[in-house]
Amino acid sequence: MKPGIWLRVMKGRMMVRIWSQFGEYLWIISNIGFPLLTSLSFALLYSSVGLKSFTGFAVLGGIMVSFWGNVIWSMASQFNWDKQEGLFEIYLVSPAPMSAILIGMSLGGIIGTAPSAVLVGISGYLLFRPEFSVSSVPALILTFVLTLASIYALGMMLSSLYLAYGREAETLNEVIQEPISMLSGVYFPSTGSLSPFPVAVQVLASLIPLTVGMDALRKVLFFSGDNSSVALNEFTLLVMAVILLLLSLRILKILEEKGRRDGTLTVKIS
Amino acid sequence: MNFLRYIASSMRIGIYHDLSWTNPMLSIMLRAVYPYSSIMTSCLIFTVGSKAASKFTDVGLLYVMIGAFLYMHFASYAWVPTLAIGEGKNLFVFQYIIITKASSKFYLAGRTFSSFVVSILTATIGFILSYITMGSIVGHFPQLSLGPYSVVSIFAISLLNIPASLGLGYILASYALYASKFEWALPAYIAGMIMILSGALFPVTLLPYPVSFVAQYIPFTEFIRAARDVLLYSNMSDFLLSITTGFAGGLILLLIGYFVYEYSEEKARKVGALDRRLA
Amino acid sequence: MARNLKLVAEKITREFEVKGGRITALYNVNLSAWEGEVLGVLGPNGAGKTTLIRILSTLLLPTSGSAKVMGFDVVKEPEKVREVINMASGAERSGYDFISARKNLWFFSQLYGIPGDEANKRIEELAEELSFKEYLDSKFYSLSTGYRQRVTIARAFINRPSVVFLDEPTIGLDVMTAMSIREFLKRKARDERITILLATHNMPEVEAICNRVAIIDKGRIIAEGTPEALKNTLTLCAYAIEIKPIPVNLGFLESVEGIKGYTMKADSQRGTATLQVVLEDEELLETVLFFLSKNGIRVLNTWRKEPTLEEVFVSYVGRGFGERESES
Ligand SMILES: Nc1ncnc2c1ncn2[C@@H]1O[C@H](COP(=O)(O)OP(=O)(O)OP(=O)(O)O)[C@@H](O)[C@H]1O
Ligand SMILES: [Mg+2]
Repeated sequence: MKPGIWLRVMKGRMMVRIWSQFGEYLWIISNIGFPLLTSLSFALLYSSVGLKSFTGFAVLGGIMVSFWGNVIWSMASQFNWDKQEGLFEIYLVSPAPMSAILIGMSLGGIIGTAPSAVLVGISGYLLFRPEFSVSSVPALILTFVLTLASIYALGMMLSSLYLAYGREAETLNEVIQEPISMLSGVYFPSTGSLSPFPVAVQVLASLIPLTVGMDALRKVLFFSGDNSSVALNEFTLLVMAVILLLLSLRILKILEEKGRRDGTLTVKIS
Repeated sequence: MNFLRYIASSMRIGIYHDLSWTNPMLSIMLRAVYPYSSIMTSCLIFTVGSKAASKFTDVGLLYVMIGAFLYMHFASYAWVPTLAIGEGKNLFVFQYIIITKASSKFYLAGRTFSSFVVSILTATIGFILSYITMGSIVGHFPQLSLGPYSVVSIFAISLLNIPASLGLGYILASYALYASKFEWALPAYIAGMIMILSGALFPVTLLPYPVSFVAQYIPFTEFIRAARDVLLYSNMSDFLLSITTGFAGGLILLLIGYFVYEYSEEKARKVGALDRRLA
Repeated sequence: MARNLKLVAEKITREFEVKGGRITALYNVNLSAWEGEVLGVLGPNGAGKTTLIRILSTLLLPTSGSAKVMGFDVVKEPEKVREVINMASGAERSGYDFISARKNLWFFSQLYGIPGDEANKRIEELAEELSFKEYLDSKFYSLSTGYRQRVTIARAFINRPSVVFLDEPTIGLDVMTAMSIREFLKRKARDERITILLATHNMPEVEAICNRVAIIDKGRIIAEGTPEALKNTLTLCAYAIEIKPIPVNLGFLESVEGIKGYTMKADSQRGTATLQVVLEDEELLETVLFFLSKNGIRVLNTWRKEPTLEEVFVSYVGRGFGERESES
C-alpha cells in the first residue's frame, strides 16, 4: 500500500459525510428533535419526583443519544445503503483500505452530529441548570472520546454485519436501537449501586460499549468519580473499540470473499 | 361507497407493509420491542429517580407506565401518513396514488387504520411485558384495576383517539407533501411533542404556563387521563367526561387536518413537489 | 506475455446456483486486449457481459479459468489489480446525492490516494473533456441522466487507470450525448494508451469506437476480430425483405437449407415487417421468396444489405439480438 493513501481515503470519506450533513443546514433541526424532546421529558420526569439533581442524567442522555442515533442510522446502515446505490463496489474495486473508510465515516459522523449534540446540551443546561462536578477535565475528555470510539466501532461492526443481511438490516436496526439504549442506561444508571437491574442484567448490559461509556461519563461528570474505577472503564472502552474495529474488518474480508464466490457483491441491475 | 373499498385496500397494503418483515407473528413480536423498551425506559427512570428521592410509590410507577404506553400508541400511528408519503415518494409510488381518482386522503386513512391495528397489539404487548418486568424488578406487582370492564374501556379509549391521531397525521403529512427531505425526522418530533404535552410521564401542570394550559386540552392528554381514571383510580365520572372532550377535540383536529391537507395538496401540485424527479 | 498485452482471460467459466439448478453465465471465455485498445464485448441481454466485467474487475470469482490484468491475477492478487483498473456501469450512476459533482469526484480520487492538487486538476480536465464543467458544482441529485452519466464516466478515469471496464456506458442516453462519450473514450484509448473493455449490446457503438470486438452469446465467445474483418469474413449474403402482413411465425424458414439465419423487425403501425436473412448463396433468395408467398405473405420490397455486425451475429447464431432477448 502506498503511504499516505490511508490518510487520504480516511479524510475523503470523512469529508463526504461532513459535506452531506452541513450542506443542509436544516439537517440540524431534524437531527435534534428526538434527543432534545426525549431528554426534556425525562428531565421533567426526574423533577416531577422531586429529584432536581438527576436532571443532569437526562441532559447527558440527550447528548449521547444524538451520537447513538447517528451510529445506528448513519453508520450501521451505511454499507448496505452504499451497496444499494452501487457505491460499495466502487470502494471494492479501488485500492482504498476498508479501515480508512470505516474510520473516516465515523469521524465524519461525529463531527456532523456534534452541533446537534451541543445544542441539546446547551438547551438542557439552560432549562434545568443541572448540578455537576467535574474533578478532572482531561479525564472527562478522554472518557468522552473513548466512549465515542467504542460506539462508533460498534456501528462499524453492525455495518459490516448488515451487508450480509441486505434490506432486512433496517428492521434489525429499528429493533435494537431502543432496547440497547434502555439497557445501556443512557438516561439512568443501569449499572452500579443506583441501577434498578439485577446483577445478571447489569453484567449483560456491561457488554455493550454504550453502557460502559455512560457509566464512566456519569462518574466523571456528576460524582467527580474515583479515578481508578474510571480508568477501568476507559481501558474497557479502548479494548472494545479495538476488538470491534478488527472484527468488522474481518467480517468485511469474509463477506468480500464469500461475495466474490457467490456473486452477491453487487446488487444485480440487469 | 367506493371510498370504503379504497380505504380497505389501503389497509391491506398497510398491514402487509407492517408485518412483512418475516412471518406476521414474529413481525408483531419484533415491533413490540420498541414500545416495550420505550415504556421500560420511562418506568426505570421513574424508579431510579423516585427511589433515590425516597418517593417511590406503586401508583406513581403505574401512572408513568400507563402514560408511556398510550403515548407510544397514539404517536406511532399519527406519524404513519408522513412515513407513507416519504416512503412512497422514495419508491416512486406516491405519484401513482395521487393520480388515481380516489383521494390520497383515503389512502393515508387506510394506512393509518392498519397501523392502528398493529400498534394497539404491539403497544399492549409492550405494556404487559413492562408490567411483568417492572413487577419483578420492584419485587411485587402493583395493583391495577383490571377486569373485563376496564379492558373494554381502554379499547374504547384507543378507538376514540383515532380521529385525533389521524387529524394530526394529516397536518404533518401536509409537510411531507412538499418535502423531499427531513420528512423522516418528523416522527421523532411528533413522538417527542406528544410525550411532553400529553402528560404521559408527569402532570402537564409542571410545564410553564401557556404551554400547560394548552396541553391540558389536547385530546391525547384527555385520553391518557381517562385511562388512568379507569386503570388506576376507578373514577367513572371523570372518565366519561375525559373521553367525551377528548373525542370532540379529536374530531376538530381531524377536520382541521383534512382541510390543511387538501389545501397543501393543491399547493404542492403547483410547486411540483408531488413526485420525486425521475433522473 | 507480450509487453503491451494488458488483459488476458483464459478459459473463464462461471456458473451460478439458481433455484432449480445451475446456469452457465460464461463458458470457456478467452479474451485479450492490448494497450490503447478499445475492445468491445457485444452480445444480447443475458449473454454474460456484466458477469465477465465483474470477474475481470475482481468483484466476482470465476468458477474456473484465470485472468490477468497488467500481469496481475484477478483471482489471487485482487489488491494489485485494483491499483490499476477502474470501472463504471451505465445502469448505476452512483454518487452521493447531496454533494456536488466536483466533491463526489474528489472523494473517488481519494480512494486512490491522489494528492489534492493533482486530483483537482484531473477533475477540471475530465469535466472539460466530457463537457460538464458548468455542472461541476451542482449537487449530484440535481443532474440530469446524461450529466450524471458523464460524471460517472469521469470517475472511471480519475485514477488514470491502465485498464477500464465499462458496462453499457451509453445506455439510456440520447444520440448526441452518447456520441460525445464515445469520442471521449476513443481519445482516451488513443492518446493516453488506456485499454478499455466495453460491454454493450449496441452495434453502432461497437462499429464507432472498438478496435476489436468479441461477440458473445449465451456465455460463449462466438466470433472475435476487428469489426471490419468480421464483416469481411461474411462471404454470405444478407438481404432485407419488406413483407406484409406481419407474420406470426417464421418457423418454416428454418427448414430451408442454406439459410444461415434470420431476424425480423416489425412495424406494427404500418402493418409491415422487415425480414433480414443471411444466406449461403444468393440463389437462395428465390427460395425464400417462394416460401413466403406460399405462407400467404406478400413481399413489398427486397434489397441487398451491406453486412453489419448484426448480420455477423445472425450468421453465427441463426437469430437476431431481438429474438435472443425475447427468448430469455
Ligand atoms: N448473481 C447471479 N445469480 C444468478 N444468476 C446470475 C447472476 N448474475 C448473472 N446471472 C445470470 O447470468 C447470465 C448472464 O448475465 P449477465 O448479467 O452477465 O448478462 P449481460 O450480458 O450483462 O446482460 P444485459 O445485457 O442484460 O446486461 C444471465 O442468465 C443472468 O441471469
Ligand atoms: Mg449487463
